Amino acid sequence: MLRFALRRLGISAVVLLGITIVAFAILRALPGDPAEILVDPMAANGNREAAVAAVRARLGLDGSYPAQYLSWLREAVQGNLGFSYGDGRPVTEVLGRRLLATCQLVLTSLVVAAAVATPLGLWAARRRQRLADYVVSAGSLLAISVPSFFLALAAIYVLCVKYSLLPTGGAPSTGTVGDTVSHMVLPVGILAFAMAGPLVRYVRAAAIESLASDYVITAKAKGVGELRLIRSHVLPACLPTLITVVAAQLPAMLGGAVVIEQLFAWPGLGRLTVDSVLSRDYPILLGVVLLIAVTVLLVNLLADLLTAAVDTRVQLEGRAR
Amino acid sequence: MKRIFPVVTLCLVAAFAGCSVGDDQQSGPKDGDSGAGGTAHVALYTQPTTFSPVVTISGADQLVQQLQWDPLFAVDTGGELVPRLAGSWKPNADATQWTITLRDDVTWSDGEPITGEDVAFTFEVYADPSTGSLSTARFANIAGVAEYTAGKADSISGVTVDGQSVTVDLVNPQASFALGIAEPIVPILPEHALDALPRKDLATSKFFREPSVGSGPYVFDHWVNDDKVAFTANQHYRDELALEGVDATFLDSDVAEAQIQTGEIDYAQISAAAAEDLSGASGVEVLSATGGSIMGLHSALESGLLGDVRVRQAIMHAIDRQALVDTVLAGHGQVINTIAFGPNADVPSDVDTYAYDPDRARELLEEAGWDPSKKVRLEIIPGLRDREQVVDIVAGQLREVGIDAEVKRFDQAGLTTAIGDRDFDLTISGYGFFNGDPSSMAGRVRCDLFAPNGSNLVHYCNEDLDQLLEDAEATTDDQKRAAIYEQAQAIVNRDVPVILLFAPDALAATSSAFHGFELNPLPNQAFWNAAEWSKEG
Repeated sequence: MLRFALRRLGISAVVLLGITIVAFAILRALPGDPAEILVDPMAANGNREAAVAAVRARLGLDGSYPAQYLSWLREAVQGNLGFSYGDGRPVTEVLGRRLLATCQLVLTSLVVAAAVATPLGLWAARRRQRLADYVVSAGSLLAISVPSFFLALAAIYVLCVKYSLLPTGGAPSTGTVGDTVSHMVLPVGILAFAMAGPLVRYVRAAAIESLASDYVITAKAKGVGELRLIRSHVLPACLPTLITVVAAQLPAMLGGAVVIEQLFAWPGLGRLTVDSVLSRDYPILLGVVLLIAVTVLLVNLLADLLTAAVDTRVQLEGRAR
Repeated sequence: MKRIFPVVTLCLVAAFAGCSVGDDQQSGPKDGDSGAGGTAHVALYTQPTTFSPVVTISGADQLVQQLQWDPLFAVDTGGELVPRLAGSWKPNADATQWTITLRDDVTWSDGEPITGEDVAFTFEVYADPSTGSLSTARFANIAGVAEYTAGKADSISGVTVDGQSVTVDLVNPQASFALGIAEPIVPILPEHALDALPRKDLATSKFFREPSVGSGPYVFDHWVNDDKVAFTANQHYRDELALEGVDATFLDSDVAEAQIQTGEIDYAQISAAAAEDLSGASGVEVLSATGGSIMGLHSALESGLLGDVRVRQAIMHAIDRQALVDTVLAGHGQVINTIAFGPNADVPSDVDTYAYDPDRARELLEEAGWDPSKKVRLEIIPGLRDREQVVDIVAGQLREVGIDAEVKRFDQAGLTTAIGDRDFDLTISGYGFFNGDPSSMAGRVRCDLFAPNGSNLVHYCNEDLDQLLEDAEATTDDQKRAAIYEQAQAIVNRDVPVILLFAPDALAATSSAFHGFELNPLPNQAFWNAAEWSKEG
């Protein structure tokens, strides 16, 4: 398994390099010059040309594209991802803060979603084509089809404005457990609801397949109890599916929770990405791309290793030899 | 594995529930008398990024900077200058020299006195394009600036300091010099904290992200997160302050509207639609004031498409501007016919009001030989509801008179590029402070201030108008100035350098517990009297 992991890591490094080149090229191909944006033509009052030239020199945008890329890469391998064009802070510092905020939101939601979706999916599979199954399936369809922004606005109106039960938004700032939980309930609840929809369906499908398999029928015939049957036979069979789906969702959620972040004034990575695209903040964008790429590669590797650990039928390349 | 899952779950929930996104720092009152009455929570309409007034002159940055830094003088709600660091300011008879005298009791938040040297240093930083300054034009008329920026002098020869007194010699007479450095605000910067930094690195200096010194009523304490800044009462402020601190947070407009109703925030700038929603809400005060900014459509006049004044006049007649105010702004605004407007702007009583008259518009287009097959773009950056509604309505009304108008959406970068390439037909934009002194129009119409080296974005030029503006600056006699400006206003009204739509009212909502807030007509001056804020409970 170690050999397999090392080989995958090696390939990942090459893929990462390719991703940075492509991302750099795409970003530079976007119309608009960050220096021009920073010196707003509607607001500038004075020698704008000189101000733009000063900004361009300060940001290192006056060299050729390959030179700019190589200079970025040279620093990046040493851990310096550059500085934000907007406020001059190191990219690692900006990303670090935003990543923490997003992880707090996304990972908690993911855990809640998995904790809710797994038993529901199993229950629906066990009660297949009965009322419980129809209710759970309809609920999961609803979760998939109702847009998060609508749900968020409705929840804010009812729970915050109308009945003042929860704060309307903003990240927790006092650090107390009560403050943290009260700020997280709504965004986490809504994100988890959206994530749980597809999860329920995947778990249900995997469980139905497992329930129809020979080893479950044999176990049943041997008189294994309902709870033990699910816990020892069906659930383990669903775990590879769960891991694969979560692994696929996680990287997308890092940058994709933008609507929830916007509505709940949560300063996470999604909003940072959108703002950085609009302001052409190249160093931040390259940092975000790099971060998401690393996450995708690592999570996929981890998912493969976890799947092998929970499912003895899976043989990793390294183990087979 | 089956035992791992619940354990991992519990660990993750515990880990994340226990940590907070922001720094867990509680700001508290420092030693001193000021600031014992709670914290005001104010909403910002964009994300704050820097405390550097040199490189930002709009948006939320200016608001947080007003808490941190004091200017020489501020613009009050009536558009008049009121003292801040300066106790007095006056020109000589022909407005070629200004004497500004600082108050004796002003100090930085670290206890150092604020002196004339700080003023001279600040003027150097703003006048020097190598700092990335967006305001060089406002200082270009000071004697010696050209030599200083060319590197031929170590300081600006026209600025002389004598203790708390600063004398400014100008190249050309400028009766509006004080007003010109009051809006957008020119905060005075601390020489003792910044002088050692290379000028070209000032804009990105860590100091302007986390300033250790300030002169305003509330000074930077810490960044709670990227959207939220905590301020604490300045213990060396000259007046006693009622609040312990101020928290300023960037909030989406919908969120701000909800939070003002729940009492989570004390102030938010609001849209006309929100003003209607919030009027009558309990615990919320909706404030309205005649606005100082204008909303207009801008064209690269030299491109020829709208170069003919008759076409621009036709567009003015083709748009039902009063209907825009009534529908889009729900009545919270006024139609304007000159760039500088209001009771003090010397607008002659007989200006053309460009009443909505599609027939007149068609006549003018015919006279100008307008080709109906020409496409005209209405450029907009999407995201602001009122502007989107305006361009959609305007496009329809222009098509009715035979102008083939279409709305074209850009992001900020795309529009900036188009403006740089001088390739824009009718770009909607709102800005400025034009309901005070009529001199405020100069930057937008003078021939020597063509963009990119000035703010005459449309490249309008009329030498007669330039002469009148120059003459008006050369006199401090109010009656003479008014007579000259009336002629200037008539030219601007006739030539329509910018398609003027309306001047929106300034609108804000405050919580009933928040006192002392006075709504300034300018959105970027909303925190102009923060020293007078207080809060109940």
